[in-house]
Amino acid sequence: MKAKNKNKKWTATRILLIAGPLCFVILWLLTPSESAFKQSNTWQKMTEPGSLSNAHRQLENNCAACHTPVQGVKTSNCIVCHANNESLLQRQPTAFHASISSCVECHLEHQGVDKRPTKMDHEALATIGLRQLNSGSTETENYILREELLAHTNGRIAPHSRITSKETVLNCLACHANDDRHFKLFGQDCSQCHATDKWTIPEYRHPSATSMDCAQCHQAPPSHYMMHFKMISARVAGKPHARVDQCFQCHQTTSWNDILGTGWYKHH
Amino acid sequence: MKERERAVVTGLVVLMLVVWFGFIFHHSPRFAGSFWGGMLGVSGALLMLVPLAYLIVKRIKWFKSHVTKHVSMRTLLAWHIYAGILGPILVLLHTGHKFNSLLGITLTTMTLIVVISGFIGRYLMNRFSTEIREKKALLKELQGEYQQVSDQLAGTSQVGTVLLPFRGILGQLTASLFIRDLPTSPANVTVASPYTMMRLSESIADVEYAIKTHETFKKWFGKWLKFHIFVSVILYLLLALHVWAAIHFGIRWFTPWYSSTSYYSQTLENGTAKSRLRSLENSQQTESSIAAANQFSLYFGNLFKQHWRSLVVIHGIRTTVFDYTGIAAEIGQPNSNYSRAMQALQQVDPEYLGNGNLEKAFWINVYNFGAMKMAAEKYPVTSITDPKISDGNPWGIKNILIGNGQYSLVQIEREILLKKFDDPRIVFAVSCAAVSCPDRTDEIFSAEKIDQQLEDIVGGLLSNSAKGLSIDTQRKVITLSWILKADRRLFGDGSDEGLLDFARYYTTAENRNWIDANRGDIKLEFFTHDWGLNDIALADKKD
Repeated sequence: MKAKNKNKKWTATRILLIAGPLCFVILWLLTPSESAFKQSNTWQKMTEPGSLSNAHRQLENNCAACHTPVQGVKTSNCIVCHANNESLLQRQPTAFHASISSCVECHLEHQGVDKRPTKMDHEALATIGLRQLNSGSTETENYILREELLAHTNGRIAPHSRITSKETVLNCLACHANDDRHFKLFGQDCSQCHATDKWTIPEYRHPSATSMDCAQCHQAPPSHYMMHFKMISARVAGKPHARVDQCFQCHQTTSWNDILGTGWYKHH
Repeated sequence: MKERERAVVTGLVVLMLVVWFGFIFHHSPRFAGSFWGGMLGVSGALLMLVPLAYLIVKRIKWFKSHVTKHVSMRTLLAWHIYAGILGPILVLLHTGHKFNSLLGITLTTMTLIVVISGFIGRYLMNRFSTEIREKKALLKELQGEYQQVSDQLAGTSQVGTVLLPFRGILGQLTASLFIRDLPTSPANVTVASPYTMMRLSESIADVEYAIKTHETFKKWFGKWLKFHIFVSVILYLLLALHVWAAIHFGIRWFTPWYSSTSYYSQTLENGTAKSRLRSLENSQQTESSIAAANQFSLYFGNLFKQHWRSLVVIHGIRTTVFDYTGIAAEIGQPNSNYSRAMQALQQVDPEYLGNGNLEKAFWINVYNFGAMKMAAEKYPVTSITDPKISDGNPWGIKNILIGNGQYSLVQIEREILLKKFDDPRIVFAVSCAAVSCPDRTDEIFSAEKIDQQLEDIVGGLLSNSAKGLSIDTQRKVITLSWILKADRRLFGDGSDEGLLDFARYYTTAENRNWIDANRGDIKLEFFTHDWGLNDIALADKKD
């Protein structure tokens, strides 16, 4: 069988090699240019490493909306749509977006429809800040500042294992002043105790339920400094002569609303 | 040599399959685009181009004649094989087991197919030939034996009687179940019997079948080379497409010379990002504090306007007043202007208000709000000095909560306002909710209008002969508001002359003329400051 085919000019392989591309070219020329497979984004979609998040769904077929050829995802592409996001900029924790001018470190796309394209990375924030100080010239204040800040990051041990030394360079109050539950009594160095992924400190233990030192950490709400205290609060708890600094007379460590001897008091 | 090569390459192919198969357990979506992922990808791809050398040299005569003088085909083949298996291993590591895009999946599949087809073709193909040879030898042996037995039994009736019933298809299938040999036949001797014949014929059938299968496989796998080349062509095309796409959409770890900025070091045009880390923080703090200060102004302004009442007479003195009953009613209501103003205050960090008119207006308004608050909280009171509010010094109570702490009135006036702003008009603006304090319009101080507002308020008071400036032309005594006495050091050098200079500037033209005409003879006295609350409810009843 093989011997026969060798003599013939038209082996199956040769026919395929010629007819295949020929058919392809003819079909390509025949189909209209609006057809789906002739759009460049359809071909580009074949290289898509994962679908866009729900928020960017409308850009599915518009790769150029975010991707500049060769340069990748440029910040200016993001700003075209997301400039002047009032609700973002007037809120203290996210006000830094006004001058951060770098988006891709925290905003990752192509992770699938369900994943939010935002993941706060405080280390990236510190890196960006240090980078922005890097003007190249050694003559400027920026250079000195950057050197000093880098001295804080390189080789320094972080105050605890839940934070990196780079993150300690950040000024927490710049964005989180309103999250300070300690009325500034614990100072401004939040990173001594807190981490950047969540506020709760796993090692924290509340003092004993029998402790009478509540006032050392807790301050009463404004109502307790007004007539409200004598007229309502103390009476409800059945302790008409209790003073405001004697929290333990009425309150327990289960909940502020769980009044000693009275049960759960539903406040207005 | 060949055996060792075979063992090594088999091991490498197994390694490749294991690396690929890890996708079941492991997935690193960001690795492929990272620096080390990129290095692996580039080196793997370069290695995958090396096999082309063997192809080119083998098929193009010019190359073959020139190259084989220095390097043998055998060596080139060895390179082809080793590069062709190491490259794919590196490339599979590069993927980080991320198989998401159509192109990526196809490329990986083609890589695996090319490697496996090459492996089978080179190392397993020759097995078939060996197998076939062995089986053919066995067949010959069996056929010989069969012939022998057949000859021995020829002419006997055994063959006929035993085998004849099993002629049909069903009989042929079940023959071995029924035909039994003589129980006394010894093990290793081929006894000539129908049973032996049957066994031999079955064996021959099996071997013939095996040979046929092997030959079919061999025929099909003979095409493996064409298949291997075909898939490689597709592989190289897809590889080129993949590299183009990566460059087109932006490589994270590489900046081409003609591209202005790399992926991760972009700054906006005009270098707006070149600012100090501290001033970065400053601008964020400032924005939010100013926003909160504006909120406070909004709500306090509403509160002020709603409860302001025009001139009435209290204790014989005409003064603008407020409806403190109304203000007190707003306390404790979460959505009232009062509560909202308090909330907004807590969001302000006064260090970031900018040292200008905005901060000035803010503090003056906060003072006024604080004074109102003190009276409203303890309402009904008749004065800010009421014992219900304080034990004599209401101005020292720290009851105003602003972002970074509790402030008292005296703190705001002295430590902040007067220290920061060298402006004596401030003491007139910080009204202490008293009858003798300057009259107010229904507007709070705003950053844009504060200068004019301050001029108006001082001018208004010093033109008011009941509580601001009163001239007794006969006794040549000018009675001034107590405010000028309490803070006299602010007005010029604090002497009577300083006070007069200040007063003459702001008072009416008529008064000014008199003062100028009689300068030198004037004696100063001061009104007794009426601390009664400027509450509309306290207005004198008309009898």
